[in-house]
Amino acid sequence: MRNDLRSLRAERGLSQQALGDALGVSRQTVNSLEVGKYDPSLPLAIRIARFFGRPVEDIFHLDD
Amino acid sequence: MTSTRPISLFNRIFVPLLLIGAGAAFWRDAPQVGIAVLLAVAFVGVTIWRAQRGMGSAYERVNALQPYDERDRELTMTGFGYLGMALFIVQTLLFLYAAVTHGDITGEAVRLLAVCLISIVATTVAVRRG
Repeated sequence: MRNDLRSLRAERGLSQQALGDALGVSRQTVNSLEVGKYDPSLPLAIRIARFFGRPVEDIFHLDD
Repeated sequence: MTSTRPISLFNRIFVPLLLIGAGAAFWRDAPQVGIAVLLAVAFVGVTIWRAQRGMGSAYERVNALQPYDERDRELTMTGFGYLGMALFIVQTLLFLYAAVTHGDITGEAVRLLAVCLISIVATTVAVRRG
């Protein structure tokens, strides 16, 4: 699954650590999400969407 | 600010057992073993303290069996899965070795049976929770 996490984080000028702290996950998890190595659980995906004020499907995209 | 996670169930059981082991080593007049175990507990304790706060690498936190978030938990459970498979295969090999070399076949069979029973309980719990 692809996602726009890196660009959304960059838009807000946040570090991976700062975003991780806001979401309650580690910096390494934010990095794994950004590079597409790890797909978040549904609760984490919703937390991310709420944090950026966007629907989940605006941030995460299925590989067709 | 990074939040602090509670100590994992595994470490709540494992660390006290290590401390009891260290005490038993001193009691059995093997202070060198007791000191080695206490040093190990101190090392594990520091690693757990750091992992609870999301510090260090994911490798460190997973090794300490002290996951910080859902990815750490998933990695920990995958690691445990590999550990279980390795234990199963090693114990089966030990049983076969004992059978071929006329070793302690009863003891190895009992240990293999114990691994099978633990595996059945573990998979039952996993399936019911899933």
